[in-house]
Amino acid sequence: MEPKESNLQSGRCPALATTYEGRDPQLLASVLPFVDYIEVTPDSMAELQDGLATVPRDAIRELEDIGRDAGIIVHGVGLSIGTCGGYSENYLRLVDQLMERLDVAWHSEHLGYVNVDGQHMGTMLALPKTEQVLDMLCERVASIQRRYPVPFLLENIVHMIPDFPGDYSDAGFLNALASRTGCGLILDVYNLECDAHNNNFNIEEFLTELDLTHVREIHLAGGVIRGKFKLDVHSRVTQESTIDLAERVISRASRLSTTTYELLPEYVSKLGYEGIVSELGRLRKALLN
Amino acid sequence: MDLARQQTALLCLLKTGRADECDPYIQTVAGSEHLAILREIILAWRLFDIQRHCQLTALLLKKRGRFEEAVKAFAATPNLSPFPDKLGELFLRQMSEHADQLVSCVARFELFLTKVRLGDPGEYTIDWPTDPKRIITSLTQDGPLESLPVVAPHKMRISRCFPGLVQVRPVELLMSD
Repeated sequence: MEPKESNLQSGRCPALATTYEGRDPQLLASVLPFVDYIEVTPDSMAELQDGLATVPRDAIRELEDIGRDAGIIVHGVGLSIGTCGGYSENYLRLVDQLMERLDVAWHSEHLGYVNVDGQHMGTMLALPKTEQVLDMLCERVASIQRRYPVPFLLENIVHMIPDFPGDYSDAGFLNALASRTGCGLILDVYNLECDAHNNNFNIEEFLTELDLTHVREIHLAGGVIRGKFKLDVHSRVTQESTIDLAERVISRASRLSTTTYELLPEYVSKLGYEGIVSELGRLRKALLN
Repeated sequence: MDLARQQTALLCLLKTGRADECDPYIQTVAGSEHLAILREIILAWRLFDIQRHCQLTALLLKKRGRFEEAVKAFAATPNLSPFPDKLGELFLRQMSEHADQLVSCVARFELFLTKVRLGDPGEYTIDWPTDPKRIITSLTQDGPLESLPVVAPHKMRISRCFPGLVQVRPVELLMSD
């Protein structure tokens, strides 16, 4: 695969990004020539120091060293923006540590919750699409926007349990949230496929209703089917159907900035560095002009 | 049902599989295939994380056929940390109290060694019922445990003061010192 022609200023649209959770310099060196952004997850990089979650200094230094080779996107999993009792300040402290030292292009999280009553659920659940939840989210998004001087994006997640009957459709809820707060959206097209497979979710209807001008980033991944369920595990290369769906979104999302291929660190050894580079090349060829 | 109660009820469903609310939505989730598969996924990630952070203890429990049972019991513990290394530490603490003395020793070995490696200045002692080197070698090489002598007490000390952080001596030698 040919390395990228230049850096972020190349004007390619959309740019290409991939995940990196630190502590694997060989992976970083392998993917850097082929991506425009590196997506980092503060929760995955964090270690407990004196009982407090902290992003280790050496992990931050490694990201600082990326310098002009790629931009940095912060994409968390532990904010738990939808927890009724409040989102996670511990998570935001990790983001603070990254923001202090790095030139972060934007910060994003998932539209869901992982903590309830101070306990981690071991999974992430989607929120009821009600007026009450929308009001709660809008206040919280505004608070995060005040805290960090970079754009904040929220991502659609898979619906792991049956939906609570709400006041909005999925797309209607995202439209209202984005238009009321000015936050951008990440559209995880693999999650849409999971929902279609598991819950008979109508992707075309969703895309028709969604205001795609809010979509700034697309997430791509490959997972597995277990029993009747398609699982959002980010363990494989992207399937052709997912790439086709991404192409359809890219052609309609006029303000899209980046496409990110996500792979959990636990599966890096299974794909191998060459396999990951090859996947990035495949995506670049298929999706980027 | 308000959002707070709904989230608490869903947490209970995920932890126990049982609904503690008669709310129709919670009953729908409780009866869905989705809940069963989601609970399986959560357990699979717990198994994966613990296997990665508590390698020797997980290997020994697997050899005893008690790994999944131990992780299931652990997963029901309230206030589990979202951080895999903290989760591993909590699991090792729980396994340190295991009724099987060998499981308890291996768990304490992993727990104390991690502490000392991370800079803990303390010294920790473990009384083994048999030669720990043979146990650990057997686990790392996936060898049988059955051939080990049943009674051969050893004292293990773990501290930054020792080269390699660990010192092991048979108890009979210590008594003759």
